Amino acid sequence: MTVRTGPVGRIPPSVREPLDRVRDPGRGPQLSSLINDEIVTCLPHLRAFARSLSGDRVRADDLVHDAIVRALQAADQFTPGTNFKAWIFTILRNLYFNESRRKRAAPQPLEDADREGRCTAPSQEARLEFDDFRRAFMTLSPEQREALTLVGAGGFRYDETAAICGCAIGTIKSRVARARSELSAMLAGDHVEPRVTRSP
Amino acid sequence: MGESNKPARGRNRAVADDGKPRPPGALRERWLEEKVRQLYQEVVDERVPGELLEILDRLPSEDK
Repeated sequence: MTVRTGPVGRIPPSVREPLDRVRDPGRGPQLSSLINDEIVTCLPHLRAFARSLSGDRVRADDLVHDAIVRALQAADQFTPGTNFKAWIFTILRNLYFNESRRKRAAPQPLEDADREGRCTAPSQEARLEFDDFRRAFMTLSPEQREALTLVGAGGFRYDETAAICGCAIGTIKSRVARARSELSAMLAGDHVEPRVTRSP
Repeated sequence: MGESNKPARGRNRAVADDGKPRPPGALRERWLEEKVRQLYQEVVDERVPGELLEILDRLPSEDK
């Protein structure tokens, strides 16, 4: 993994200063401790969500890293008692889509999809089948992958997913339905074409 | 274990326990949902890289 060593190696002022603010006598230690605990709890899920968006292990972990830093910077904006997981997922997906827009290029996930996760399926047939699915999944648009992942695996309701993605519930339902339909079509054809780069 | 859950097509269409043809759409949808969860869970089950945990470990402690 090539997470950048700079930000990890020491806490930059951009993170330390917001934390110091958070630690003021009013709400400080409790909130920062809460954020810390919540991040640790969410980390595996953040990684899974990031992987589903980027399709790339390294880029996904970079995204998670940046989302954590951003969450710490914005810690004083988090309201205890609200859904932390949804809050930090929103941060992560905004980072991903902003970065994608900046680069004006969608991810190139197929090589990574081929490279990763080959050892988990219990048999060769199941493994090949799962690899087919993985490839098909990664040819969906990022918005479709996002909706399908949040609703189908992340444990979010449609309304929560809509809030995370900043769109209407109907849009999420439509993306999920279309994603399922496209996956079915691709897998029924037993032929998955890589999606040409597409901006979100 | 190695049996495929992939929805059958054509003449191999799945049949429900009562002998009636299973709705292919529902079967396919369930299969897809399982795969999405599997894809997600696969990453959740991975060991979190130390580099990510270091961010939190290196935060200044509250009693400083």
